[in-house]
Amino acid sequence: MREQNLPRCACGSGVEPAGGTKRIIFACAGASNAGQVSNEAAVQLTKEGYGNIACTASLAVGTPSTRKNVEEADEVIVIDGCPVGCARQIIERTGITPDQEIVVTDLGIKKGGSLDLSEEDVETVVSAAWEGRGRETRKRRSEPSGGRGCGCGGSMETLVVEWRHIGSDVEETCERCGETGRTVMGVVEEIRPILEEEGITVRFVETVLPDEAIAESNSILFNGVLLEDLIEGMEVTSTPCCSCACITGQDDAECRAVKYNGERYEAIPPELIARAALKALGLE
Amino acid sequence: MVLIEVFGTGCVKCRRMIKNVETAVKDLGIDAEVRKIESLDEIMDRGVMLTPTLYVDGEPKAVGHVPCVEDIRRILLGEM
Repeated sequence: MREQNLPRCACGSGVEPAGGTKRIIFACAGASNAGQVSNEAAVQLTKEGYGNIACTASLAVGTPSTRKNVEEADEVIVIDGCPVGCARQIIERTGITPDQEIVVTDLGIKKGGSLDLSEEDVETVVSAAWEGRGRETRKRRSEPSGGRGCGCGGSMETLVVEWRHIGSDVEETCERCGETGRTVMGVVEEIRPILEEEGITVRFVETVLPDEAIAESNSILFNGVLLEDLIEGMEVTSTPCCSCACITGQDDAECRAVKYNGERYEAIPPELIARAALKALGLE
Repeated sequence: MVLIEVFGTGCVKCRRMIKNVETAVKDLGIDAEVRKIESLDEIMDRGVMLTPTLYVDGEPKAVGHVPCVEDIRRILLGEM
């Protein structure tokens, strides 16, 4: 008799317990470790009963059932791999304001090309959601800027500067990539206070590429747009690079460089980085 | 001292309930004893029929779902 009245576990019991907050979770699921951690965390949060994972791509194409699920939710949670915030942008473009925004790289997880996910990283993101840490990000973004913003509580403008390179960090990458990296960081520090006065948040992201992606090394993106696509007349080229050969274990290797106004630059100079930043923001 | 009891047989939700309770207790810095009740017999004897379940000082506060850390803090502060 006792067996017939065994307690049931809410995991997969089909029982919908009362009292929980109904949450819907959108992950960017981007093509990097950080993007995939966002997706894995959304899966884990769904299994733990935090909320239900939903298809971000489906929302982007306007699937009515996804939209309906959003409308029925008490809270909308966004998990993005990096500050570019692709999932957040998709959601905001449909007129929905997320209640929580979690950015994987803001939690101390480095973005890279490897798709081998660590359980520890996933747990960090899952715990952040349970602790409601995404609300702080949302609050920061919604605060009136006092500068360029209109003060209506809308989103503060953000400039995300992403530097991509092979090698583990600025010291362990190739010579020109390292020089570009140090320059990018210097420019970001220089323009940050100026742009913040104008209500623009500046964020720096470093993406470590796998050796196979050497063709993308020494590149800089501004809100997801490559430097060479922002500056008219700039061309991408490649030149032999001994330190890249050393890092990748090849006899010979070539690394990215750019050509502009008759000059060839292996390391990107600060004036071109600053100009591309202004172009990305529509300020030049 | 507050007595916090988490009833659950060790599934993913039960483990998260424990973690959230521990985080909330640490955040609040309160004097609390956190008990994990995993034995089916004890769970049944206490009349709990759906897990995970959270009791605070003998009162059921969440049944069959995991409250977030903020909600557990509010429960422990008597706001929920």
